[in-house]
Amino acid sequence: MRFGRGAVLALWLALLILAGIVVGRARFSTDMSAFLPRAPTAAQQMLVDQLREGVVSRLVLLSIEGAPPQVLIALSRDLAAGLRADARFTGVINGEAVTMSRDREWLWTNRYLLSPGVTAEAFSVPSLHAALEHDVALLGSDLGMMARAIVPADPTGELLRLLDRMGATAGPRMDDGVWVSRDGTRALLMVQSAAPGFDIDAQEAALGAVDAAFATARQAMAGAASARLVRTGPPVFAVMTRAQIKGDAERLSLLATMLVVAVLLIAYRSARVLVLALLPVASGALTGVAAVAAWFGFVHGITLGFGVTLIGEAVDYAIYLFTQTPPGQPARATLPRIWPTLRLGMLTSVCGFSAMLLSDFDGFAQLGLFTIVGLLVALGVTRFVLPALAPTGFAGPTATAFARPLLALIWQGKAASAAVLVLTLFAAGSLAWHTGPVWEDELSSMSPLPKRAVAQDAALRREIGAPDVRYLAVVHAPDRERALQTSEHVASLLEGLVARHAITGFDAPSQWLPSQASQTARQAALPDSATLSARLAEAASGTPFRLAAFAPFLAAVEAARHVAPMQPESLAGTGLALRLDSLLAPGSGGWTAMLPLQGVATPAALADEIAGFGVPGLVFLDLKGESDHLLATYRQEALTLSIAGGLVIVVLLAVSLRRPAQIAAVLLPLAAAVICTTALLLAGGARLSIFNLFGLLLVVAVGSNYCLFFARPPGDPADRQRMIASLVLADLCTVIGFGVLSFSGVPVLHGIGGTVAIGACLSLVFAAVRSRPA
Amino acid sequence: MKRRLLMCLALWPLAIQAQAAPPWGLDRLMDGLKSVRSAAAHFVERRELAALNTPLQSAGTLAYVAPDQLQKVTLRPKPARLTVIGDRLTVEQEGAAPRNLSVSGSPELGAFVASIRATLAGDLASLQTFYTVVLDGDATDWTLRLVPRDARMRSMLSEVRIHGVGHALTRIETEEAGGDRSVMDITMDTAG
Repeated sequence: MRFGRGAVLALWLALLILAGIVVGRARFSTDMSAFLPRAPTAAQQMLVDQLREGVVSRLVLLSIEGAPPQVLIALSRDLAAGLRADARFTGVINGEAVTMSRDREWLWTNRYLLSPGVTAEAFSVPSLHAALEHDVALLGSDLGMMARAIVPADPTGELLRLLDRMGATAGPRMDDGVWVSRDGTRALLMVQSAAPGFDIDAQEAALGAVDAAFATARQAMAGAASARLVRTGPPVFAVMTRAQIKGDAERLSLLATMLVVAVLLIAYRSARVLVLALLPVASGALTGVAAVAAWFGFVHGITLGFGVTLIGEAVDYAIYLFTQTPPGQPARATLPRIWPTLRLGMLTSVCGFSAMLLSDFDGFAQLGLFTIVGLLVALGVTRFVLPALAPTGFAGPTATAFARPLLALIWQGKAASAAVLVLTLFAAGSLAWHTGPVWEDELSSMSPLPKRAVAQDAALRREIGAPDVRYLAVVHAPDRERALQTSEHVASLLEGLVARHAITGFDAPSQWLPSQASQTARQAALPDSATLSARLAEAASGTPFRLAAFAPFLAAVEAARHVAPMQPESLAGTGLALRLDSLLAPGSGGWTAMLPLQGVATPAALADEIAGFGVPGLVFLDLKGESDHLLATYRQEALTLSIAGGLVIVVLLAVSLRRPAQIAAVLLPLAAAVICTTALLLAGGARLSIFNLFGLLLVVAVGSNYCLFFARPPGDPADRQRMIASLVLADLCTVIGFGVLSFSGVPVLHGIGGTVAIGACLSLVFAAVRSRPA
Repeated sequence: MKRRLLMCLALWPLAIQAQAAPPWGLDRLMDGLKSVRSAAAHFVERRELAALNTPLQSAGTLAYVAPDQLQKVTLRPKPARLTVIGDRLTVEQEGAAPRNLSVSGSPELGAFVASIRATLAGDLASLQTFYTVVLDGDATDWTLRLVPRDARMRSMLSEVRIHGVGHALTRIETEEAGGDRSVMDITMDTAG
């Protein structure tokens, strides 16, 4: 390989420019579906759809507190009025009659198309007679005052049927027409944003609008200065989580970078060398992103954030080269000595990560590709570009000093070896007899939210009675009409389950927008004016009713017979539009109707019942169960990939090193480090997650380099001291970089950071202990 | 001498108060009603509806606990119970699940309940928030005429007339829009 220095640099620059162009045009996505299996089950697809844009993902719960009740109530009214005028919100509910009366009016106008009670039978003489007798009793009751305005236009009681179904009687306590908490010290509101849950920028803007509207309302009101607004719900959490991850990543990365830079400056005393040392990792990251964009068509946010930590090893390459170059000599001269080891070390890591390429999850596969390309390019830059750019005689004696602590340890080889053996056996034993859960299988554990915020959310949810949807019957159909028809069919079957107390209730989109077929059928069931008035006359005999009173009834039925069937747009401006929107949505390749189930007694039995309905396209969905299951699948997959990667590494090392003693010299310290790190993590009370697994994979990738360098036959003592110094320096940078991350409250950063910091440190010590003094 | 002077000074405010006592009117009526902490009564109600040829009759008991609890138990023709505590209004009927409403959220029933409760509590301010209040008669036989201030409310409920003797209510007449009306005659059992 004899390229001119200019040609190499030109090639490198061309590669960077090309990568830059690809990255510049790349589509970046934070879409959860990259972390769905390639062939998701219907339930998994629906789970992710719900998390992405379902109604639950757009619901913000608000509580106003810290002021006298009258002030809270007034604030609630003003805040709600402000938000209702804002197009960013599709629904603002605080118990006020504004939306309720509009909903009622809508139900009233469309009662004959909406009510399942509208059948030909219901308008027969005997049924009408029974209805009228019931009406007399109703008028004489305490509800008579409300009923007297309704009965003449609705003797068959369709409105009451619809209102009962809406659950108008439930809801939080009301004071002065506004929702308040049971103890009356907080005013409660529920707000739904127009933007889907995954659009975190839009959610952040919406939350900002809520804050601004509250501030305006508070400022305009006397005695409200002490009032404060508490917000909770998925949009709040999403914004909070993103801010925390971003904040932590920025703050900790900056800190880690500064510390690593400081160490490198101390070691090399040259800004130029420092910049050169960062070139391989920077080039690797850029081309890695470009490769992912070119191959997958998009780059996931997690690949970006996560991948750069995975190729942190690439910083080590430059350190090995620079530190092992004797003072006064060109870096080029060092290469022949360390190149085989570097190459094998890089190949080890690439093999370890290559298993991820085979993952069923696009997200994992992207991480794998990014790491492999990144490391290849980083090593290429170290091999061909750095020697061309490095000044001759840059290396000073300072760096060698880093070898001293490790050299001291190596001189105690025998005793230290025994200690490591005992330690490892002890760790292995503690793993074998570990009681209690090893794996973290709750999705909530992946979230960096403080427990207090979660508890506050649960409390507010209980007070408001907000849909804490866990169980759903979900219907998928090719178009809206068929989705609604199936929803009607399933609803009729669910009625049976309610009657048998298997569930206490359910909601269905077809209750608020019946299928066109049902609407037409109901219209057909309504008798014409002449027939109806004749039947009514017959039915009214024997009741105290005056026939003339029912003129509004005859008119309403006649109008309903000729009205155009309702469309989704007919609900515009009502609170029911919000409800329908959450229950019926166009999804991937068709329409999805959701029927939330309340009061599920035994989920497993219910799942069987619903499967037994035999309705095509119907799925019983347990959101929490499904998400926990998906997490377990990730973890299982990550474990399989890690083990496969580990096996490939063993095979690679066996083939390359050939001699059993050398293979053992590399593998034993690595295995000991992995075992001890895992035992330490579990002993610390943590449960293992995917992040810890990836961390261990990184430990193997980084640690194998240390072991390979130590496993080389000892040469010139000065070279060996420089070699050891380079390992200590590289390890120091790794421990600093990842150790800082472990202070993060974000589980991803914390998990990987802690694992790698501990593991890298242990692998270096174990590898050194296993080696012979020169 | 000195002692008598002190006595005079001490009694002086009382004398002024006695002098300034207003004639019987809304304020004195309300003060008197306010002094009643709880009451129990029987009622007979007769409801005439435009839609019906014959009036509907019912009977039962009433109970009030100051300042905001009211219960109406219907015994005939069908047992039922209406309970109001604060803003919460519960209607229980035989063979049906209890219905929970809110006084402020149910215009027709709420306004009616609020008018009776505020009268029982002697809460003139609250009454005047929703109604124009006119008092006729004297302490031994008075009539409170309540006309809703809100035009929309008036289209449902034209007038409530509450008759009473002393600190006790004797009859509640309700005139509703469309010619519907009801009369509830009340017989006090106890008052405390």
